[in-house]
Amino acid sequence: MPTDVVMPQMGESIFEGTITKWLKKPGDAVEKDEPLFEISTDKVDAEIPAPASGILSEIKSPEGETVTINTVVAVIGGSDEAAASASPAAAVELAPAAPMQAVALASAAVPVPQHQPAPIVSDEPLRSSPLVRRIAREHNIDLGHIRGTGSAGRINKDDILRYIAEGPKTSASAAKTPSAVAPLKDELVPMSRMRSIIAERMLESRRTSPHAYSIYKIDMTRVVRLRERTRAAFEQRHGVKLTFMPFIAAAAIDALRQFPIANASLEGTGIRYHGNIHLGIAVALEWGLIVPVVRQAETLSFPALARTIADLAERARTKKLKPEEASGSTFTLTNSGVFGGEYGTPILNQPESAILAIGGLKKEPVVLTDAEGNDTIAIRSMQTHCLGFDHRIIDGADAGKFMTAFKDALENWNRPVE
Amino acid sequence: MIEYIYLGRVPYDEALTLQGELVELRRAGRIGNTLLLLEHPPVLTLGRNADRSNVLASDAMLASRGVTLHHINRGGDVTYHGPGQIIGYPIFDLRSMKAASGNRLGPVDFVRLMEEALIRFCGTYGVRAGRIPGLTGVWCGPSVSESGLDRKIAAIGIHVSRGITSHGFAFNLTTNLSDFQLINPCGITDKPVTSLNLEVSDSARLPAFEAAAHEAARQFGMVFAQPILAVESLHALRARAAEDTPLQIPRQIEQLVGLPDHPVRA
Repeated sequence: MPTDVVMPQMGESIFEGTITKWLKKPGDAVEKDEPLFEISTDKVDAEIPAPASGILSEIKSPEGETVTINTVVAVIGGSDEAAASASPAAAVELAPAAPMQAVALASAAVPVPQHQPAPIVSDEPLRSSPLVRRIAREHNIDLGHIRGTGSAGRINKDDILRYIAEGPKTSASAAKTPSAVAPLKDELVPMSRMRSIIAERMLESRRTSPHAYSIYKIDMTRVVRLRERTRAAFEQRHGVKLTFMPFIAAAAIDALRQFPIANASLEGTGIRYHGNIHLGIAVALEWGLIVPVVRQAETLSFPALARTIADLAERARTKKLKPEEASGSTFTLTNSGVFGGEYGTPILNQPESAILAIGGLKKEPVVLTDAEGNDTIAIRSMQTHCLGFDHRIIDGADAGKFMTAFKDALENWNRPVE
Repeated sequence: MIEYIYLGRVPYDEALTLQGELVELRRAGRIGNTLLLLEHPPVLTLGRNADRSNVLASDAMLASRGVTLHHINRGGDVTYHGPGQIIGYPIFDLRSMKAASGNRLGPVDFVRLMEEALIRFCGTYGVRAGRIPGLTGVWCGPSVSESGLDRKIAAIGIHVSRGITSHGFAFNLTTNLSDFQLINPCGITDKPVTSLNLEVSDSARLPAFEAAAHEAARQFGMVFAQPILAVESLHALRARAAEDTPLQIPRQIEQLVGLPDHPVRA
């Protein structure tokens, strides 16, 4: 389907633009987002990207021409009639700025649609042009109700005008043709920037390290009970809620002290054993994810650890983290347990060599053997943790030893909690 | 959030290459909006709309003074850069910002905001500055009314590619203005150029170069209404651009599950 290329608006009170150079000629293939033409105005030289991929079929406004914003200056993927190639024109003086003429289109009296279909939910910002948004504002239409037929669901002027004209009739016409069910179309949604960064990093991490996993089920009952007993006093004395995180972090630090290979990085042909343990705690945010780092975690007391973790998480959520606070970790903790599953198999946070995914905490029946060798079944709080590690420098045995130390620290927790 | 780096004196070519690198990193989303603040050795640059006749000196004369000439892709005509002039290159993604009205920020709106930041920057040192409609840049004069402004203290010229800006502003702090005689700055022949050291009422108010650069960054933060953080070096910026980020835990899921024995909450 042919896509119109329009003159964009360079500023809020700018209503026209001058094309200084076409970077492609009719017949050339263009990729979406590839620079297509240049506008120069007022100390700004901007390359305008193509709105879609295809063959540039026609250039309507040659170099040097000044056009009002939203004027169609070229067409991509139109019919194959021979298009006149853009001949370089002599520089034209800028016409005095004129108010946008296109508003006249919407001035005809059109009734506001009474019945609006369910909004089309999408993660991506609604794509539409200033003209379309102006029409929508004037007619009190929520653009979320209109399905766009342009590239990536972009809402064209035609889409909104058609919606205005046909709106009230949608339900009636649907009732008339119950039998014919058109096949549903796919929808190709471009990735958000955050999404594509995550995609790239995940792939890169997997490509760099051979990932292996060691999974341990840990009896957290002792910690659960301790926490229940001490949480009120702790919160009063230290000003932060006592969660399971500091317990797990402290146990991890313990295990890292005993098995420093899990706190190391592969560097060239050597293994760098980091002097400190900078613990990364993955935090999910509405707009993405971030790993604030508890620096020199091994030097912190238990309350200091709890406070630091809570403070970093809070500041991560309110965007008050400093850049150096979100980098430089040597080992990462990530919480897979919230989903309600057993555990997750995480991907390494490069250049670290190990990452610990905390699993879901659940009450389970467990076989306990007493000192005399008698077995009983008891209900215990169990949590399954999964250590992801880089098999280039950490072997299964190392991982197992690390996890045993970690498990030991939690199951036999004996340090004070104030 | 805007991050800025003070780079000190950088040759023009090097800065051009650096901008190219950062524009790509910004496009890929690996760095945020970044402002480079620096100084150039003497150089003349010709933008897209430049007329070579606005360079008044011959090539031989320029060579003998050690001034190099560059043709570049920013908007605007010819200008001079040299010691004592604060250069700012904001590498911003226009799509990451909104105008005060809530609409998308266009390139020209961005230029207006840059002018605003520099006007306020002048204000910090007690110097009144303003705009002249149709003549982008920052102007000083005996009075702040349009007719009163007649000396240019800062020149602006940007390039936008797929929403990412490059090039930016040149603010005369203690620039040797005689070097401007080599050109008709921005093609303007009837209005002179000035610098902050000539405009401050009391020379004690004139800041040192680096302090002024930090203040300019601060004004950017104010005008763009974003926190502005100093990054200590390019190395630090590049290192962080290579960061990795693991799994995400949507808060909605946490609320959905809502177990009393909630396992861990960061």
